[in-house]
Amino acid sequence: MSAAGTAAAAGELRTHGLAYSAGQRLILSGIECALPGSAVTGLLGPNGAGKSSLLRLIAAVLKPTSGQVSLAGTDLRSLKRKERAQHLAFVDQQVDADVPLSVADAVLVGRLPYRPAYAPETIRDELIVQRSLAQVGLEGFGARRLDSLSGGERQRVHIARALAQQTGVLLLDEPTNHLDLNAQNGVLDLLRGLARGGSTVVAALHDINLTAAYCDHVIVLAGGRVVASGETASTLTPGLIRSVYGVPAVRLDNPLTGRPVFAFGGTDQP
Amino acid sequence: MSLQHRARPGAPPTSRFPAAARRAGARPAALWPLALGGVLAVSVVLALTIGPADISPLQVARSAAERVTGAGTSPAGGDAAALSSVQEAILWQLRLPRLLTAAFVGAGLALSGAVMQALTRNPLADPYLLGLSSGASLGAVSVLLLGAAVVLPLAAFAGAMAALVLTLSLAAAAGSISPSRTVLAGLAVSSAASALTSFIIFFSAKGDSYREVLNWLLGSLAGSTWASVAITAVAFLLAGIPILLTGGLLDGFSFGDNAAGALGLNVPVLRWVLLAGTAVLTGAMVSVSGSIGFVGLILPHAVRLLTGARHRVLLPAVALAGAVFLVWADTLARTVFEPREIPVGIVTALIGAPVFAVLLWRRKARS
Repeated sequence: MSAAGTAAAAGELRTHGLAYSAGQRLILSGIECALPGSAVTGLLGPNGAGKSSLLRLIAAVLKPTSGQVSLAGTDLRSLKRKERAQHLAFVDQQVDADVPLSVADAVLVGRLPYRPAYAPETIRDELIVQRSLAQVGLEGFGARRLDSLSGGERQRVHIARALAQQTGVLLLDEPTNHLDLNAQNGVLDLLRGLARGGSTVVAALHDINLTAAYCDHVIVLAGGRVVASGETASTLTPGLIRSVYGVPAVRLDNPLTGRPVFAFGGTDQP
Repeated sequence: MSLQHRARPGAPPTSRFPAAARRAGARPAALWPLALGGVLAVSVVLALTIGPADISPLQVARSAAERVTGAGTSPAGGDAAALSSVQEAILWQLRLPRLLTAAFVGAGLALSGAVMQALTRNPLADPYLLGLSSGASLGAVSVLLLGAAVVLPLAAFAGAMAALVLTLSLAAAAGSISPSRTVLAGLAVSSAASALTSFIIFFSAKGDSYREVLNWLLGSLAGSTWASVAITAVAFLLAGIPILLTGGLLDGFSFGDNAAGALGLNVPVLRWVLLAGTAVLTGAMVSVSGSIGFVGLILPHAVRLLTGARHRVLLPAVALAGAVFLVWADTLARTVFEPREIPVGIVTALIGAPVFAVLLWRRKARS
C-alpha cells in the first residue's frame, strides 16, 4: 500500500482571496488559486514575491489577514491542528541546525499528529517510518545520524518525515536549494512519483528550468500577486519571464527530455 | 527509482522484518532510564555512608529497618552494628535530607537544561537562560543582608519568577516569543539583576555575611533540611513529571517552528507553557540550593551522547543522571577538604568546564 495514497482522496486544494501582511507591509493579496491533485505545482517568482509566505499560509503555519484555504471544500483553519496535520505536510527551507537525531527518529517525528502527547510510538509507527524511508530511497539509513548525511539525503529524510505524516498534500519550500544537480533531479523525480501516486505536491522553486522540466502546473507570483498560473508548458513563456524577472529569455526544446528549457540573456538595460 | 517500492504492494517479509528489527535494535536506548535509576539508588545509599562520622552500609540498612518497623532495638549493650544517637541524627537529619535535596535539584536542573536547549535550539542554553538565577540571587542576597534568612527560599523564588516575567514580557514586547529574542531578553534581565545584586553586596555586606552570600551565589546544599526536600520534591512532582511525560513533543521542534506548527503543535502556547514550567522548576531548585552552575548545561549534552537526542528517552535519563551527578558532586564538596566544606557549585564547575571542553572538541572532530 502507499503511505501517501491512503489520504489521496484529498480533494482539491484552493485558496480564496488570500491576503497576508506582516505589520504594515503587505506581503500577499488577492491570491486565488487552485492546486490540482495528482500533480506537481511549482511556485515561481522573484525573491520577496511571497512564495514562502503563500506556502506557510496554505500549511496554516501563518494566519492570513483575510481569505481562506480550503481542502475539498473545507476551510483548513476550521480543523483541529492535529487533524490538519493529517491532511497537509510541510517541508520547510533547509535549516542547517545540527540536529543530533537519528534518521529514523527524525522521520518518526512525522507521526506526532497521530498520537496523544504522552503516548509512545507503536510498532505501526515504526513500520510507517521504515516504509517512508524506503519510499525516498533511504532504506537502511535509519540508524545513521542526520548530520552525517549529504544535503540531498537530508532533504529526502525531510520528505520521508512528510510521508510518514500520511497526508494527501505535500508542501515544500525550495526543496532543491543547496543540492547538486543529481540530488536536485533525484528530489524532483521523487516528488513527481508521489504526485503520480495521487498526492497534491506544491513546491516553491527558484530554478525556472527545473520548474519547466518537472512541474505539471505553475503559479507565478510577483509583488505579492499571482501574475500567471496554469499548465507549465503553456504558462511559462519568454514574455512572462521577461516581465517578472526583467531578464530576456528564449525558449528551446531539451532534446534529452523533450521538455522546454529556457536560455537567458543579460539583464534588460533600457 | 525509489517509487518502485511503493508500487510493490507488499514488500517481501525478508526485507521488512530486518528493517523493523534494526529499528528495534535501537531500543536499548530506552533501557538507559532504568539503568540510571539503579545507579541513583546505589549512589544514594553509598553516599549516605561517606563522611567524617563513620557509618557503614550495614548500619544504614539496620537503622532504616528499625525506623520502618519502629522496633527500637535496645540501645544498651555493645552491639557494634547499632548507631549512636549522634550518628542517627547525622544520618537522618543531615545526610539523608541533603542527599535527597541534591538528587531533586540535580534532576530538576538537568531536565530544565535539556528542555531549554530544545526550545531555543541553542546548545549553550541552560536553565538560567531567562535570568532566573540572577533574579533569584537578587532576592536571596537582599534578604540575607537584611538578616531575614528564614524567608530566603521564598525571596529567591520570588526573584526568579520576577526575572522570568520580565524576560518574557521583554521578549513579547519585541514581537513574538522567538528563541533568539528570548535569549537576548534573558541576557538583559540577567545583567541588570546581577548588577543590582553586586551593588547591594558592595554597599551592605560586612564580615561573615560575605561568606554566607558567596556560598549562596556559588550554590551550596549545606543548609539542606527536610523542608528543602519537601520544596524540591513537590516542584519536581508538579512541574518536572508533566514535562517528562510530554517530552516527545519537543522532538517536533527539531526542525524549526514552521515545521513544528505543520506537525499539529501549537507552537506559541507549547513554548510558553514549557518555558514557564521549566522556569518554575528551576526557580524552586535555585531557591533551595543557590545557583549551581553547569549541571543544566553539561548533563544534557553528556546524556545525549549515551541515549541519542529523542526527548522521550533523553528527558527521564537526563533527570536521573543529573540526580546522580549532583549527589556525587555534593559528596565531594563536603568531604574533599574535610573538615571544611566548599560550595558544590565550585565542584560542578570544576568538573563541568573540562567536560564541556571535551564535548566541544568531540563536536569539532565529528564535523
